[in-house]
Amino acid sequence: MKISDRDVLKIAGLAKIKILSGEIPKIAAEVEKIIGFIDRLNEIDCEEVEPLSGITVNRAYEREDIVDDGDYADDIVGNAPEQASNMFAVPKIVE
Amino acid sequence: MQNLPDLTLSEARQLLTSKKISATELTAEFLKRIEAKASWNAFVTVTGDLALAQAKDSDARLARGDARPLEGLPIAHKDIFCTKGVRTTACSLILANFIPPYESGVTQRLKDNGTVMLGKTNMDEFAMGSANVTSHFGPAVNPWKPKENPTQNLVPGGSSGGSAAAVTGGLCLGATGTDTGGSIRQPAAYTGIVGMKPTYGRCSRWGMIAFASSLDQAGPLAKSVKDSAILLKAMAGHDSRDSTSADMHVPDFEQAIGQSVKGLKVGIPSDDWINECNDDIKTMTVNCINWFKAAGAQIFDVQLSYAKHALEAYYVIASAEASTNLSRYDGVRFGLRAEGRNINDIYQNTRGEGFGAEVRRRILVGTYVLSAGHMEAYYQRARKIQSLIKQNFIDAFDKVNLILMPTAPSGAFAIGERQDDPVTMYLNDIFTVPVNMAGLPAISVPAGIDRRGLPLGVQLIAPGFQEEVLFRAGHVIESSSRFVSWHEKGAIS
Repeated sequence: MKISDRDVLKIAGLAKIKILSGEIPKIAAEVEKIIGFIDRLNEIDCEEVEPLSGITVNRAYEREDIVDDGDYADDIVGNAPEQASNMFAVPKIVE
Repeated sequence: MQNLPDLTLSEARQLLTSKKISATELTAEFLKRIEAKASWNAFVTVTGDLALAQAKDSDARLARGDARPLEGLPIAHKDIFCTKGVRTTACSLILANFIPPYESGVTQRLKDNGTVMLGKTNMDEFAMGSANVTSHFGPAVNPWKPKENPTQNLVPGGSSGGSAAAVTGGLCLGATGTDTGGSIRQPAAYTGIVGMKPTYGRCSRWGMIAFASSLDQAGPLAKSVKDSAILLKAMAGHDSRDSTSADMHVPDFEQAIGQSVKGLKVGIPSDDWINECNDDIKTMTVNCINWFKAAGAQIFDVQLSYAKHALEAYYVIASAEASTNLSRYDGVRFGLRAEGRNINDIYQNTRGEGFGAEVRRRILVGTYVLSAGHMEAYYQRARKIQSLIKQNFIDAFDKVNLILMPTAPSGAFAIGERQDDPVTMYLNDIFTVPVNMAGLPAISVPAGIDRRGLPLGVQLIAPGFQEEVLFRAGHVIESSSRFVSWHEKGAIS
């Protein structure tokens, strides 16, 4: 599968990753190489195979819906790059 | 007495409980050695004061007869485990200042068992790598040197490279790691130590920074099979905070050490793709087969034909999950925030600057395979291949109790090598990835030395939740190869 510069910009946009224009050809070549490698999967006939949904042996279990953790909002907000009034702060979004 | 950093964890446990040494003395010795060997870059954070305070508490407990199972034993944690109040970065710039407000399930268990934490170890950024060269803090260095070029710096493997370097180099008694595609076993093989990847679900993933959640599993890196068994016993167990954590009994794995393998059925994959390794590895494999035969095990051929494609399927599934998991790094709630005119700019600039090249590549590939029009061709197909791989193992385990194959296609290589293109690096994991894809337990045990004088590892794979047979059989390899003593012979300065 050929990966063009436009493809790179499209997926980088979806992934919200800024790519500098000078880096695009190199990244396109690398992603193309990886996708080329992954494309070897097409050598296998697996039309009739059921896809695996998980490797866990146990069924997902339920637990009581009770709060057993918390009360450290300050520590959590303390990791934010910007905070105001004990809340996460971001630039104004609505003009 | 033996040089303290050369002790195995079980030897140190014996000396501590018989009060021949103190936890404080042991901890201080390791801290001194960590400082002396700073050039290995094995640690990204050293928690000296905390370690000495924990050691003091351990000494008090030992004195009053209130010791926990691993009381006073200094260990290290891969910097992917959240440690409350201690910086946890996953070796990424995007998390370079992150202080977790909580403790991971695995490190909490080890703490509750009495271990002393010396610090956090280096790793590939977000555990994406096979050589510890993608770390934001620079590569970790393998303490082993090739005999023909004793100044050359080799990789310790990855992604748990710092843990592996720290254990083999005598900077701690054991360490935690995580294994998504081989990140415990491959570095263990490259550094001549024991790496155990437990069954998916055996250890809690709570507080372990996520890479590919359906594959990530924690496990120990240790100097001996016995140490590995002791550490896994302490790490494993159900955790209601991880919905994939198995609610199953954790056996006393140490009991498996020394048990006979007479009559045990060992499978050797006869597929061509398993032979894509160098001659030293092939010799090592033959030696292991002979050791098992001599110990009374029976050898059988098995086929793992679809496992050949595990790596391709892995790069679809792991990248897809990584692209989803890493979407949380947005510069709002924690970690780095780059400048931007609006919120979208902030997201894009933060993620563009904060992630290293390999992590960006994997997110891009993951986004690509999940994007509209590609999902069926890549993701669904990869899940089908995963089904076939799992069935390969189920069929093999109808015939045998465990499977033996190399851990990696070669020994350690030089820092800077195999970086021409990403796929060359990925191929280091060709033998380890199938195990993750099937959720099975596997152990890498040192089993030989290559012509450069560097360690090689053999991998033993068992059915789910049968780690005991791996410890039992791994100990036979260890005793036959007498590898542990090579470390003491001074291969490492």
